[in-house]
Amino acid sequence: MAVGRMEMSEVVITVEVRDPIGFHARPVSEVVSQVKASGLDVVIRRVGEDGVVANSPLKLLSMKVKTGETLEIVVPAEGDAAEALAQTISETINQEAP
Amino acid sequence: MADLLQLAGISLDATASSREEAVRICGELLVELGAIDQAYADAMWEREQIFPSEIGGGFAIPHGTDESRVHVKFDQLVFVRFSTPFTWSSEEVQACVGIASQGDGHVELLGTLAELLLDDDARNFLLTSTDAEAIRQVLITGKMAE
Repeated sequence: MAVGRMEMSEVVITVEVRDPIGFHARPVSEVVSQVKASGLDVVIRRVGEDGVVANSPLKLLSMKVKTGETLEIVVPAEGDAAEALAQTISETINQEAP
Repeated sequence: MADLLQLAGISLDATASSREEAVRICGELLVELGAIDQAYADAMWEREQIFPSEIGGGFAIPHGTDESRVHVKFDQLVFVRFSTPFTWSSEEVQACVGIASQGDGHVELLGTLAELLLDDDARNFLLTSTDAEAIRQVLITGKMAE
């Protein structure tokens, strides 16, 4: 997992989906709760794609993310809280992974 | 192997006023189809209480716990639509896709359901059409009939 700043005002974390059934309904729902609670337009995307604002289970589920895919979590903020949020989301994505 | 979603697994005018009733209806239908034992149906409600399964767009996707997967005989989905929408845990729900799954066989179809629900025409079709076979085709192919 790499932590880096693409530009001054956002935190980007890369995460490989290890859950055997991909990024599925339960982790999706928890990520949406975390994003809504943050009030930030956190984006989840495949590398090189636009991705979606992660505030809707439908938008995330429609990405059909499979095991082994790599996602980027983009938090449009900086500082420790933004990094912690990105980290929490990346852990939630794999919370049911063995 | 039976189709993941059968015509007999589609109910378009069910009546429920709580998510407990709704989840039980999904479980009963899956038992009738022979896809699960009652223990899995019970686990669907157990799971639902821990983790409400509404996904937005007026839909919920009740399913069992990991431990209860041994009570799934074959992967199967049911589509249950209610004549009157009701509040699930926080959102209004009008239809459920009940899931019996031993693995990841259902994941693709759920992604397709999400895509359909983001499209107003497709969502409206799923919530109003009285043609169960047409609904089945749209859910399986992810495409509206021309």
